[in-house]
Amino acid sequence: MGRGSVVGSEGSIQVNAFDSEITKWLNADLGGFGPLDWAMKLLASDYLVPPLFALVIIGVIFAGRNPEERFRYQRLAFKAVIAIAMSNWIVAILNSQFDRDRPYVALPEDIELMFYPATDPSFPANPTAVGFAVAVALLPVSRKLSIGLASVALIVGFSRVYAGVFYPTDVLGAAVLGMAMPFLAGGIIRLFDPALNVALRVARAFVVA
Amino acid sequence: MTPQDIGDIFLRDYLIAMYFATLGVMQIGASYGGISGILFLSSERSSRVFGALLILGALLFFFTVPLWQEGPWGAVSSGGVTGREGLPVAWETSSWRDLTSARNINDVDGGFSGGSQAIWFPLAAGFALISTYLISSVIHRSNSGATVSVASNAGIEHLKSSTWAATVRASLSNWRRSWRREVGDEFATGMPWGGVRWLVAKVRSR
Repeated sequence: MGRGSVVGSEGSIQVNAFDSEITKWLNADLGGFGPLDWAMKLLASDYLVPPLFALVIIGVIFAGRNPEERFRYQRLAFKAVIAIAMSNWIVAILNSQFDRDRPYVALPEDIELMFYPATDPSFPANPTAVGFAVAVALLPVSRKLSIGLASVALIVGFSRVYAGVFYPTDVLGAAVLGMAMPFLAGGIIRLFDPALNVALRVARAFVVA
Repeated sequence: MTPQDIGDIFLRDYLIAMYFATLGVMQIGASYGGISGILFLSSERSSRVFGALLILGALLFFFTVPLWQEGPWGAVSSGGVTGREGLPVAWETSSWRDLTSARNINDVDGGFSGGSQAIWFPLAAGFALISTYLISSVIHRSNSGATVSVASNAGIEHLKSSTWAATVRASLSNWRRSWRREVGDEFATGMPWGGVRWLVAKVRSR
C-alpha cells in the first residue's frame, strides 16, 4: 500500500492522506519504543479509562456540599449517563452507515496492531465520544474536572491511533459527536424532568441520593 | 478452554476491581461533600487518600493478575483463545512486557462488550454502595443512638450527622407520609407537556 494512498472498498469511507500519514507516523515511526508502547497499550485498554469515567460520575453523585448543590450534581450525573447512552447509540448508527476499515486492515504493511483485532468499523471512535460526552456533561460541576476528563479522552484517542485501531479523524469526529451529546441529553431530561425528580426523591427517601 | 471460561475469570476479576474502586470513589466523593456518616476514616483528607489507594489498588489488582494467573494473555494479534483463523493461543502467565495489553481482550474472546460493562459495572457499584452504608453504620454505631429528625426528604444530607442505619427508617416513614404530595407537585409543575399537566391538575383536584 503506497503512502497516502486512498483505500476503501465499496460502501466504505476512503482513507485520506492526512489520516494515513499521521496514523503511520504515530504507529510505525513513534511506535516500537518499548516504554511508550507499554503505556499506550494500557491507556488504550477497554478496561481502564471507561470504568474511570464511570467512577467519576459516581463520585459526583456524593460530592455536592449542600442539598441544592447535590441535587444539581446528581442531575448532571444522570445527564452524563444519558449522554453516554446517546453516544453509544449514535456511534452504532454511524458504524452501520460508514463502514470504514480499521488502519491495521487498510494499511496492513504499514501498521502494527497493538490492540485486539476489533471487528466493528473505525469511524467514529467510541471511547473518545463517550469521554467527551462525560466531560461536557460534567462541565457545570467543575471546569478543572471537565478539562481533565476531556484531556484523558483525547489521550485515549491518541493512544488508539498509536495502537493502529483508529485514524485521527475517527477521534476528532468522535470528539465533536461526544461534545454534542450532553445538549441532546439535556433536551431529553427536560422532557422527562418530573420523572427524574421523582426518582431522585425516592432515592433520597432511601438515603442514597 | 473456551471464551466462556475466559469470561468467567474476567468477570470475577472485573467485579472485584470495580467493587473496591467504587468503595474508593465513594469515600472521595463523600469527603468533598462533607458526608461524614459514610466515611470510614475520621478526617476528610485521610478519606481521600484512602479512597485513592483503594482505586489504585483495585486497578493494580485487575491489571497485574495475569502476572501470576495463567490465561490467554498477550494473545492480542493472534485472534483469540478459540483459535480463530486456526491460530492456537498459549495459555500462560503474562510477562511484564505484555502486561498492559494482557487484559485487553475482545468481547468475542471472553472480554466484555460496552453493553456488558454497562451491566456489570453498576452491579459492582451497587454492592459497593450497600457495603459502604453497612460498614460505615457499624464504624459510626455510637452515632446510631442519636435521635434522628427527618422532617424533610433531604436524603444523604442526613448522613452528615448520623449513619444510614439510624436514618433510613425515619426517612422512609417520612416518605410514606409525603410521597403523594411530593410526586403530585413534581408532575403538576414540572411537566413540559401542557396536556399532561392539565390532566395531572384535573386528577389532583378530585
